[in-house]
Formats: sequence, structure tokens, C-alpha cells
Amino acid sequence: MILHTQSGLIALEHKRNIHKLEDLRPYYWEFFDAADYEDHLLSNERVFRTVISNESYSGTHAENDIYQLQLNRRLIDLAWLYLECLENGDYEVDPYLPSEPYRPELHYHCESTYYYDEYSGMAMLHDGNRPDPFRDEKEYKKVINRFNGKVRWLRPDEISHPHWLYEQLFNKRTYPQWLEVLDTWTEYTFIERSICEKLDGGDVYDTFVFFQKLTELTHLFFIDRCKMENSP
Amino acid sequence: MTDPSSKSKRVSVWLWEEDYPHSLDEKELRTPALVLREAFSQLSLTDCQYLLWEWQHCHYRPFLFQFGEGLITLFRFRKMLNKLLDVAWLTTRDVDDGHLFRICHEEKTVRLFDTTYFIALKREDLPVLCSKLKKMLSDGGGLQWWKNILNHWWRMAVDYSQLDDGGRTNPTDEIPQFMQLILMIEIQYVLAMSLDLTSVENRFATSAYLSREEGQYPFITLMKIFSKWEYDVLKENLRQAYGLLDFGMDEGYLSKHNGLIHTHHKMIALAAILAEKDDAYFDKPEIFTFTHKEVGRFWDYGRFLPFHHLSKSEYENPLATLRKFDFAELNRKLHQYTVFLVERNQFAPDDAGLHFTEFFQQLERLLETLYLFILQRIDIEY
Repeated sequence: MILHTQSGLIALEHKRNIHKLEDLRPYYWEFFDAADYEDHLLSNERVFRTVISNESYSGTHAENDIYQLQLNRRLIDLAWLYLECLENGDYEVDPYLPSEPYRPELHYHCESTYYYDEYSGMAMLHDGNRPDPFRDEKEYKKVINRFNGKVRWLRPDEISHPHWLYEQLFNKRTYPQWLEVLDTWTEYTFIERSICEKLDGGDVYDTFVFFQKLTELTHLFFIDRCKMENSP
Repeated sequence: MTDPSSKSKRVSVWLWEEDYPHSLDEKELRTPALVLREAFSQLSLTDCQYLLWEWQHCHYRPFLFQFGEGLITLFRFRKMLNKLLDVAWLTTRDVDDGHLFRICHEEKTVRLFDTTYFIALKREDLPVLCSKLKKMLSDGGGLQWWKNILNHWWRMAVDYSQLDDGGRTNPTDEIPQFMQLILMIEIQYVLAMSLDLTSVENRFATSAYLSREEGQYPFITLMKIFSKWEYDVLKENLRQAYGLLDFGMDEGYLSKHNGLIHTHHKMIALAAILAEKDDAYFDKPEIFTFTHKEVGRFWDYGRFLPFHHLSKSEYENPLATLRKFDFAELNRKLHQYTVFLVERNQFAPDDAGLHFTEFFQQLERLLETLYLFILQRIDIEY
């Protein structure tokens, strides 16, 4: 038998009526009731270090890391529910536009005299729209200034369009695939080997960054800063 | 949103409340047999029985799960059980199409049944595996209910919540749950073997109740038991276990009562291993030689030991007596007894427990035989 619906497997204990974005608020509250914000960010770092290194730091407190990953699991649930509410409700949302990475156009000239090259000369075409290479750094500073150092991973556009981040999350992996990744992470908190033998190290780092961003976004929802950000 | 088709696609399934085979990927959903192949090429049936049995006892002991390779074994085992539950759910729902139970031919399953030790599976279940599995799933509260149970079991094994007796609802529920879970595993094992899978080597267990180390040196393990408890204490323990028939298990003493049963399972399993050894094994003196340190206060001279249940001929040849027991049946009976203790108030005719009396006489006979056997052979170096 094949189940065609791609589903979000929500691990919250009780089914409640969640129809509007506002219905999610108790869950934000619940989350930060269970985990302190700063502590959760730091613990994510610890879990990241545990899985990626050759040592296992969990020992007798193995359940701590598992608990931590379950919390991240919950953040993914919240992301899913957020998107679901957004799609079912009559909210006006900006479609997600992945920003084009800057690729300079190249101009090739002179037919080559080398047998293995077609062109022997190449120049970059200046279109006058070259992005500022320091833009990211400025954005980063802008974000941490605005939120008094509370937010370090999110970009300004992710703060003003939370669903962009959430969509990226599920574009990267489907819901069941995320569960699998969390499972793999859990497994490697026990083992004294690096998770890199199974997953790509860069991918593990990206996952970690997602965890941090999700935490920060949930925190912003919790203190209701995102709304202020969105209202002009 | 931008893509209108995505609207219909995003659906939440609430794990703790809805049945959904979330641990299977697409390939496994298509061919559940893959899961069976994978599962039983990792662990043998004996391993599964052993791990689940020790896991159940984590409900009563303030220790983390330490069997096999420790928590990582438990983690993988639990993952495997989740998958097996999903497969069970799929196969029992999906009866018309290419369905797994059709491959179970009777002669094959009967042959398998005769050569393998099953805890919960009975011979008369073999033709009706599917309905048995269905009943197992629906007896509790369906698939998600069993997954919640596993989650609860997991917590009992990885942290110290069993110490907090007050907050636990329905302690002792795990005893019937154990029987159901083991039944599920055993049915799926029969299925897997019908897929022409060969059973793999045991990785962690010698028998369903003994780890590899314990089973490798049965006499050392047996001596550990006998030097922890004196003969009369062991008899008293047996009496206490029998006494539970009157009052059932006391929730405040779960660890004590289940410990008694745990030890007896181990003793039966050890005796079963010894009974299978040939005569030459017992002629080696080094097997019976222990230093004083290893054995501790095992034997006081001049003590009178009553052996109530052995006849003269049995008394003279304990090895032959040992070989006469039906150990598989004893273990199964002990399981039945434990379940009976928990569920006794559900069907409580006064003499319902009577047929356990004979069983306990058998246990006492076994204890006496083992003890006598050791007394005659053991050589302690002072």
C-alpha cells in the first residue's frame, strides 16, 4: 500500500483546533516554557559538537541530547503548522523568491590558438549591478543590533517573511526525511564516531543552522516581534 | 500560496493520535518485506526476545539499559520495533494485494515452530497469524497506541523515571504488553522465515534469557546466583513468588517481585543449557572449580538440606534428572503466571491459580536438582 499524501507528522501530544496563525501562540509559549531560549541555542551547539566529533559526551545523560533533538523536532512541527495555517487561511503572503546569486556575465574574445581551448581571452562584463560584497555582514550587524544580540542567525528578509524560511526548510527535505535526519543525529549522540561517515559535514552544519534559525524565529513569534516587523 | 497544488498536499498527521506508518520510507511502504529482511538480518529472534525481556525489566530497576552494546542497541532495537509495528499495521490492513501472509506454508511454519523457542506464539496460532496480528494491534488502541507504549518503555530505560512511582499510571501494564509485543515479533519472524531468509547468528544473547557471556559459562552464572542467595533463601524466594498468587503483585514492591521472576527465568535457561551439554562437558574439573573468593559464603558444613521433591533415583543421578525437564514449557508457564498475576482480578475464579501449583513444584524440583548437582561436583579452593 502506498500513501500518497505527503504529511507532516506532528508530535505534539494533544490535537487541538489549529486553524489560524494565532492558534499557534500557546505552542510558542509551551516551547519556551520547556526550554530556555539561550539555553536551547547553546544546547543545540553542544549536540552539534557531539554528533560531529569522534567523542560521545552524552554518557549517563544520554537522554539530554535526545530531549534536545525532540525539542528541535517540535520546532519543525511548528514550522509545518505555520505553513498549513497560512495556506488554509486567507492570509496575503508574498511568494518566496529565492534571491539569485550574483553570477557575472563573461565575455569571451579571440579564437584560441591552443588546441584544447576554444577561446584564449575572457573578460567580465560589468553590468553596473554588482552586489555589495559586504552586504551580508551589514545585514548581520543590522539584525543583531535591532534585537539586542538576541538574534544572530536570521537574515532581515527571513524575519519579515517567516514563511520563506519555513518553505526553505521543507524544500531542503520533506517531512519524513527530516525525521530520518533527526534519527541519525540521535544515533550519533551515542556513538563515539563522527556523523560525517553517514552525512555530509556541510549538510550537518546546514541542519544545525536551521535549528538555530528556527529557534530564533520561534522566539521572535513568542515575544511577538515579527508582527511588529511586518506592520509598517 | 504561489503553487495552488501545494494546498491540498500539506496535511498534518498527529503522531500520538493517528495511525500512520511514519517510520517507513517509500520503498518500504511498497514492499514491507524489505523491513522484515532488514530487521531479522540484524538481530536473531533470540536477540529480540532477550532484549525485549531485559527492556521490560528496566521498568523496575533504577539503572539504564545496559544490555548488548547499551543504549545504542536499545535505540536501534526500538527503531526496528517501530518499523515492525508499521509493517504489521500495513499487512493486516492490506489483505487483498500481494499480501505477506499468503507465503506462510503450513509444513514450513510447523517445522520452524518445532525447532525454535517461541514465548507467546502457540502452535494453534500458525494458521491464523493474520488475525492474531490484527488482534494484537487492536487490543490496545491501534498502531499509535503501541508506539506510545514504546516511547514510554524507552523513557523507562534511558532515564530514572521508574524511581518516581507516584507519577506512573498503571504500573505492571508492561507485563501483558511484553507478551503482545513479543507475539508481534514472533509472528513477523515466522513471516520473515517464510521469505526464505536464513536466521542469523545471535549477537547479544545465548538464549531468550541469557546474555552471551552468561550463556558461555553457565556454571559461573549459576554459582553467582547460588552464592548470592543461600539454598533456604532461594526456596523462600520461590515460596514468595508462589505466594503472589494470593495477593497479586504489590505496586510498591514491583522491583522485588519481578526480580524473583527474572532470576527464575535465568535459572531455567541456565539449566536448559546444561541439560544440552554432553557427558564429557561435566567431566572437566575446571568447570566446577572456583576460588573461595568467587563463591563467597556458599556452603556451611553441617547444614541440613531438605530435598522434598526428588526420589531416591533422581537424588543419585541429578544429571539425568536435569535432562528430563521441559525447559521451554517451564519458561512459558512462568510468563503465563506473571501475566496471570497482573490480570487476575479480571477473571478471578478461586481455583484459577491451582494449576500453577504443579508448575511451582516443578520449579522447586529444578532448584533442588541444580543445587544437588552443584553440591556434588563443586570444588572450592580455599
